[in-house]
Amino acid sequence: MSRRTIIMIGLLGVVLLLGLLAAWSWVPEAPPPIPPPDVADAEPLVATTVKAAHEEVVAEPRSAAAWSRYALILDAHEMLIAAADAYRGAARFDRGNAAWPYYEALCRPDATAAEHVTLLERALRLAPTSVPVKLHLAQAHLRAGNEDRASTLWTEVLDQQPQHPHARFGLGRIAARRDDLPSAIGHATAAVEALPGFREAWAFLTVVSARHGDATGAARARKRAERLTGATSIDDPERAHRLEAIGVSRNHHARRGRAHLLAGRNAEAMRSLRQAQAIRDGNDIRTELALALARSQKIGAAIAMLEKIVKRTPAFVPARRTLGGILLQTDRRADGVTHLLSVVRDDPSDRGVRIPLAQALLGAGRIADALETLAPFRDLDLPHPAGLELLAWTLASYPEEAHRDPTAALSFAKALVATRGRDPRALDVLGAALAANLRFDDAIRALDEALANPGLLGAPRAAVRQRLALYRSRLPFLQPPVR
Amino acid sequence: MNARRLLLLAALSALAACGDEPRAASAKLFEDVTDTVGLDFRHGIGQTGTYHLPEIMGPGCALLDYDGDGDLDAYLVNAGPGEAGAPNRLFRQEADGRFVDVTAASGLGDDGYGMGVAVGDADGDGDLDVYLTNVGRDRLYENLGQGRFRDVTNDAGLGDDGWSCSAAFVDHDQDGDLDLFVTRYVLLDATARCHDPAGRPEYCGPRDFPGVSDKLYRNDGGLRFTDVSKPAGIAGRHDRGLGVVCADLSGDGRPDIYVANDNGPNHLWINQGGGRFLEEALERGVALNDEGREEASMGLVCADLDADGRDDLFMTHLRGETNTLYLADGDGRFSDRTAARGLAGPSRHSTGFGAAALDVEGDGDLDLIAVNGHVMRGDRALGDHLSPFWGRYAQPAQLFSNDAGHFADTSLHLGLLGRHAIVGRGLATGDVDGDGFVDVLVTAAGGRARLHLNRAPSRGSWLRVRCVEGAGARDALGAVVTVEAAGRTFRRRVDPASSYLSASDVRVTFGLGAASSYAAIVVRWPEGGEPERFPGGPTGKQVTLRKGAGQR
Repeated sequence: MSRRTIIMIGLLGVVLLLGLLAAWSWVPEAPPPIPPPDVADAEPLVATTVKAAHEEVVAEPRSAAAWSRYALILDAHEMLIAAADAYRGAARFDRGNAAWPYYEALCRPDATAAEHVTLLERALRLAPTSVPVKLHLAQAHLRAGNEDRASTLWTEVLDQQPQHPHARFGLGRIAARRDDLPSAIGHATAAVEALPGFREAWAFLTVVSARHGDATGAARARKRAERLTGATSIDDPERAHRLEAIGVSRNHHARRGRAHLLAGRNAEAMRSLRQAQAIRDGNDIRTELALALARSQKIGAAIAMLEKIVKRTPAFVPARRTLGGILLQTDRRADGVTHLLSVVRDDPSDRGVRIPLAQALLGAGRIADALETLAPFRDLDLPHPAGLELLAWTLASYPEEAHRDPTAALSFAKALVATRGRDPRALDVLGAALAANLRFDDAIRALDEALANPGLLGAPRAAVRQRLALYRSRLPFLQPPVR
Repeated sequence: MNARRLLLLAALSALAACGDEPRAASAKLFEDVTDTVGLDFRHGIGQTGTYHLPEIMGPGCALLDYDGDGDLDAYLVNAGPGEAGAPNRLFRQEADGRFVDVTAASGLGDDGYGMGVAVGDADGDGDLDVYLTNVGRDRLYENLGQGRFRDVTNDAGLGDDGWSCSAAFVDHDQDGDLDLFVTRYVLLDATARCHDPAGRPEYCGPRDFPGVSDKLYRNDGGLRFTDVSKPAGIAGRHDRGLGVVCADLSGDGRPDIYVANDNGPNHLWINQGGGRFLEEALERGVALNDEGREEASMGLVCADLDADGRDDLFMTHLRGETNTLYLADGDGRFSDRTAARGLAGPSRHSTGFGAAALDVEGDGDLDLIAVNGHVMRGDRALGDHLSPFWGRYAQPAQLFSNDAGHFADTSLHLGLLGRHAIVGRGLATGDVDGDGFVDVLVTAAGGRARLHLNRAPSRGSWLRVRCVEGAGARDALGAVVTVEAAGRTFRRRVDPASSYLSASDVRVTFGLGAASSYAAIVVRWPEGGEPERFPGGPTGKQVTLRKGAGQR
């Protein structure tokens, strides 16, 4: 065989190979297996929605839209393993979208750190400025032992958002691992300053302060950590919104109802809560519905509904709490106080219920019970504005001298101003406390400052003026006696 | 040989090599002998599908020599005499290794809704008494000898109502008798019904109910106890206690108490002396994991896992979390070293409950074993042996082999224990067949209890130590035993009450590697004071050490 023939055969082989490769690359990729919908015992609407989304993928197995919709529906209802598989399918047909590998990683809480790193690095390549992706990825790298890469990512986040609490916390953890305790404390402090409800960072600050020999700092941080509950997730409003919008379960309707209630949209709240109730009735939904009824001025119906729950399930604390709060606004204040006292007994950590309860007790002339109810707010390491305000007012201006404590009132008023800022209401409280301590000039200055605020209008402004007149006459402000 | 034959040979070799892999992987360290020894016990919860929370949280078990004949017997906790439930059962081990149900004759067939069991010689008469935690009244049974027990709960001043979980006998005031610490879980609302995010009926979670405070009872002698939770400082904390270990974790010579809480920070009660405790878990780095997060802590192990002479803590957690290893730093503080020691990855998919440190092959390193099983349905049923209901909750057990303080997941070698998924809960350890190697008894929610004997093919030498003290030769719970052999020291504690809801053998078994003899044994007794030194001897046997008989 001549050399030319050999070359020709070789070239032909190469061309054939290239052709095969080209043909292979044009053959559509086989779709991945579609995770089956496991909806036995699920709520009917959830089952229908999941099945429909599954059928869309079956009908169009190469449709990125169908895969992503199926994945999001599964994810919204926390069918995580199937959701992760579906996100992988979405990623196959929508390769440029960072959301799918990112969401897949979040649906695999039991994956190894290395698996998380792979998925999240892929997501970051597609969305190089995404802060949530960087934060999750940094966390995964730290879990995998890659401190340097984690540090780089957290530093990048700080470049984008200089006080980001999770980035600060992460860098603090790395500093602690490297025994750089001052730096760890600095990062942890910055994290809790940026996000005072960041429980993990308070806990971390406790540990590193204790290790650094700062027992006082550790004790203070511990108090804050202990007052907080639950984990502080990495915030990703876009993802949360997508999942919330696509969810159809009772939980989703209930959450929407609560959001409407908080925003004062009672009619919408009732509608969402009724949808949740239609799926499955329960004390939780009935309690929220009763609250919506009360806010729509249907007080009698709300009370009747709550009393039925309390009678049937006395252990269900939220119903007692809501019932107590509503009764305080009626002529059955004593019953309201009884219910709220039982809530405080069963859940001493519930600080929110103590304010209306203390106000009702004060209204009933039960000053000793009121002060006992307010006792948790005396801890100045854990300032609670509403609690401090009520404590300061009461101790500065209670009509009976035996129950007044001007010194304590002043310390709580100062803490209130430090916590809430020099707003007119806080300054008014400070003025009352200063006057109770016979520091009338300081009290006058505080109220002058309050009156200089253009936001202080109407009856509150008139009340401040009246008190100012009292202080100018060298008289403290005293509340009228309880009848 | 021509090319075709060479290719054929290579292919055959490759096939043979492939065949070798599973054979190596199936080199079993444990053998399930449940059926052959007649240990016939099933956790009876009645009808499945009612989602009554206590049914998925238990049961516990114990390995104890209740009749003092030298071999270990088995006690299995049950869910009471409900629809299809039954009382707890005691099985006596016969000389031939078979187990016989002696519940009726023993008087130990408690019919409460059982959760766990703690053992200790509460009256100091030389035999083991039994404390049972229940959903409802707890019970204390006094061992009368001759294989009989009697319920002394009322006379003892015990029997608080509520939901108790793990319990531990501990001489917290170091006065020479055993006090009692009881973890308590939640204030259960039996009418509550819970659902998962898709609306499927599901077991409620711990956060669906308020937590309650744990209990500390002081032994006043004469089998009388006083609730000292309040003066001790324990009563102020309302959490969801599941596991407990008692050990001197601060290094001041007094026993401290570590509590594993479900969905809340764990507690480390530092013994201040005078019957007072201060909770210092957060400051000492054992309340929350390295990420500052609370975990759903269930089972507990307290042992010197990195052989540095200090007790470390290992605990089992929910799927999506890791099991967590806190290594002692040496100043009464701890650091989460889970990932660095190889324990993070292998445990993220497991929901662990009972756990133990045991030297499987007798090489001197403490390995870790954990039984697993979901509390919320998993996505796939595992195994034909399970009903569709329990199949969604079942998971296989795991073994983490220790190599100089680093752990590797070697669950493949567990035999049936590592392959057969169960809803694992209780786990107790002890040398059941008397061969010097530690065996494992496990329980399952709604399933059969299983006994797995250690059949490790390569084994080092061993030594079993029993520590007794007092006139009645009470087992010295809390004693720290150090064996010196072959130039190494091996440190263990007399600690039957770790794991989850369970009680292990009160004797400690040491693997001593290649050593054919040991040079000495040093015992630090629970009451404190100078350690006592006992002379050496040959390995491969049990020695009983009596307080005061050694050299100070």
